Amino acid sequence: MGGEVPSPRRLTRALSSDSTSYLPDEALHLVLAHVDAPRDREAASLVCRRWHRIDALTRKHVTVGFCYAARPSRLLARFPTLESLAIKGKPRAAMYGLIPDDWGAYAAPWVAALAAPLDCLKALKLRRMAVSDDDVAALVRARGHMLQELRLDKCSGFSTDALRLVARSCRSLRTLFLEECSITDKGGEWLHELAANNSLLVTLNFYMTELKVAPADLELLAKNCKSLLSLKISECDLSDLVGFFKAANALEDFAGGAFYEVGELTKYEKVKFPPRVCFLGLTYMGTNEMPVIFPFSASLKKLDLQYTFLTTEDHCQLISKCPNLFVLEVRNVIGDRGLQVVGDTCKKLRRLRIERGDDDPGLEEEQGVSQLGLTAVAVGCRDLEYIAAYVSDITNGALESIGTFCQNLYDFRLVLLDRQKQVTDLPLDNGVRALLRSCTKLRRFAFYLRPGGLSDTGLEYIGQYSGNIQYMLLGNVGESDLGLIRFAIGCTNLRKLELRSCCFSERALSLAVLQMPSLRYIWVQGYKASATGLELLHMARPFWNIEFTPPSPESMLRMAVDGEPCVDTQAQVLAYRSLAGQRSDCPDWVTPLHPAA
Amino acid sequence: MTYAEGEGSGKTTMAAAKESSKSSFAVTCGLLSRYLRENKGGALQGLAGLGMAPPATAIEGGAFQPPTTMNLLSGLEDPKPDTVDVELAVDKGQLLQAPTGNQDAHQLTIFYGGKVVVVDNFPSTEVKALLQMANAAGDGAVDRTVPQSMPGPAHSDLPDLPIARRNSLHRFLEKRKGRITAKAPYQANSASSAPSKQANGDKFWLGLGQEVAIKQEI
Repeated sequence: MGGEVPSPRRLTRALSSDSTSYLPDEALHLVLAHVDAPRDREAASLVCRRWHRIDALTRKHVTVGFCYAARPSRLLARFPTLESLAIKGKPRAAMYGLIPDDWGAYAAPWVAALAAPLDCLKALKLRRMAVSDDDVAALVRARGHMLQELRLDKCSGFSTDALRLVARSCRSLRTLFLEECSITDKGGEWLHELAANNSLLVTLNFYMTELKVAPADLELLAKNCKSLLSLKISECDLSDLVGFFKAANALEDFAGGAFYEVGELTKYEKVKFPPRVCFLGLTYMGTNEMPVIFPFSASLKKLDLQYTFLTTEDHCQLISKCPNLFVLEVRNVIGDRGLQVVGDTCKKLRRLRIERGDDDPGLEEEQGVSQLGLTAVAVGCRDLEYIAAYVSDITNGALESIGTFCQNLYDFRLVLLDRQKQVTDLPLDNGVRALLRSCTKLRRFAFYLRPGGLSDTGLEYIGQYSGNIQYMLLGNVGESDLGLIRFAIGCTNLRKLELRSCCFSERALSLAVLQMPSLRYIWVQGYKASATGLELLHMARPFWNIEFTPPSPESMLRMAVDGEPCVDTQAQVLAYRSLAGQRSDCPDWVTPLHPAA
Repeated sequence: MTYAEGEGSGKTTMAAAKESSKSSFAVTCGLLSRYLRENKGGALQGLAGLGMAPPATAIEGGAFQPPTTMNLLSGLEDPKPDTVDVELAVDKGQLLQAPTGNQDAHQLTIFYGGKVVVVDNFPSTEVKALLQMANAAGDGAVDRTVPQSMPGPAHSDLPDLPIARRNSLHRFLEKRKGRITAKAPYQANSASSAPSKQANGDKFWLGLGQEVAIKQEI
């Protein structure tokens, strides 16, 4: 007795739900309060009813991965003391203009059901949802006095009136995040009111929006909010921000602005960034303006060059001065030469994104990025955790190198552009196998190729070596239905799957879904669709919603959020686990499918 | 030269893209058939006597469309492993399929100038020699692209989906085009003066010349 480790049976009794348990609820509360990781919480809540109850009472944050998977009332019933909530709406394809505006994902039911009853709610994040001014008003009415974080990420449907309301009423706001939202601009007073009423703001982000603001209001904000760490804004001439930068002493992150009068450095010479700035993303920055960064390039940790006018040579020159980068985002104008410099210089790099530039060869110098550049990066930057790249060429060897050298990868995305006719080394079966076998920490994986890029064998490899991958996007992979089925059999942990431009039949898709035990969400566009989606019913089962968008030329006329027409006339399928029953707010061009009762 | 021999596939394709090597390849073909007959490992005999196959799809790019009928040595339905005649697969689904016969001998398919030859049970040991011979004749004028060796009948049925562009990038690129046309000077100069800046020997990718950029809606 005393000092001995309790036997397993005694521990079990201690933690069990019977009344003679040794461990009081309060102790379990304290223990679980230290468990934050969502998967751990998920597991803990399944141990027994007691643990389920205590998890529900102690969980601080919940992410609803898809807004139609559950009803708001259910969330409220289970987590009445929730402090932070995140909800995701439209399929990811909405970020690529593939989902029309009226698809759904309305914030209204969630705000209506939760804003008032969730007494402890102080942080709300909505991603790719339709949000109206009324929704924001309802939120502010109920929670304005204690709201600390409001994030509307790629949302649409509201105006600056809603922002004025937030600015006036949410005096405790630390974070206002509006990146890439479509906001009706009725004037810039909202920023003035925010600056005048708030002194706690840490993060303000309206990057990639079209909002027009007055530089004087930004300066006022800097003066009143001494803790402002991160500011990302829409287009605004940088030379007008000299006053702001002088006042914002604590600033670490800055993105946006714009260089308008280009060719003349003198106008921008006065721009001096605050001393602690270590993340920069400067819009329209060109070769002549680049030197504004040089004085502190060595302290840069994150650099976003996606919206600049830099040439390949510029990238080489600038990046060679940034040895402490953790995050780098560029377009493929960086070229293989630029990636070589990255590999040589940025030894601490964790995240690398190489976006797709213009296809017009007159505008982008180098014709993209290839296996040469990727290999150089893999060899040089061994700490990489995230790689996303649009490449013009790729080889099995490069994929194998990435697998060998980047053991910490948890997110890998590769898109093979379709401009170049010749690709060195297809199919990529062996390369992808090597990469998946080596990178055991991989959780997210995207592989978008062209016909012939991956055989059925290669597709089977992806399934076989999928390991703990939870999300996949696959495009133009495989040759036949057999490949898809074999892939599906291997994917035991896959939760979310997106397929595009594939050759599979409806029936094969259904059968494949049934093979994947963890799959809770699948989105498909571009497959051998029927006019009615009938064969999709092979995957019909309880708590599984199937929504079919028939192929139609009329969809060409539909507008996406930013007014750009959706050109895709191909069928779409969206199927997902749901406790909320069939959607009741589908637009008329989406057909929910279910077997006749 | 692309030579793919994984566990499940032993496909080898050769295609000479340049017309100039036609005649030398024809000569080589003759040599090839004699060589194979002499070496006895395979089942190939008499490459002469091939009927005309319907023209295969263009070798460069485009979706692969395997011919629906093959008129080589009519009358043969089922490929038999050990016959000495040239085997052919009438069914397009069987063309370029997984290996028949024993482990070390696989199906060999040769595309050339609109004609297709399919050889069953071509031993893997002979492949290297075959490739060397072809290399010598073709002088490196070999299409290394493998896509056309992959039967993808379904791809030909589906219209191509363009790779969608992210909204934020799309807006940026549109704005950049607008700035170039509106303020003719700087950006246009930057792009066109790039060559002079690059005059110090930096590589400049050639050959993508006057390709018209297809406007991406998304």
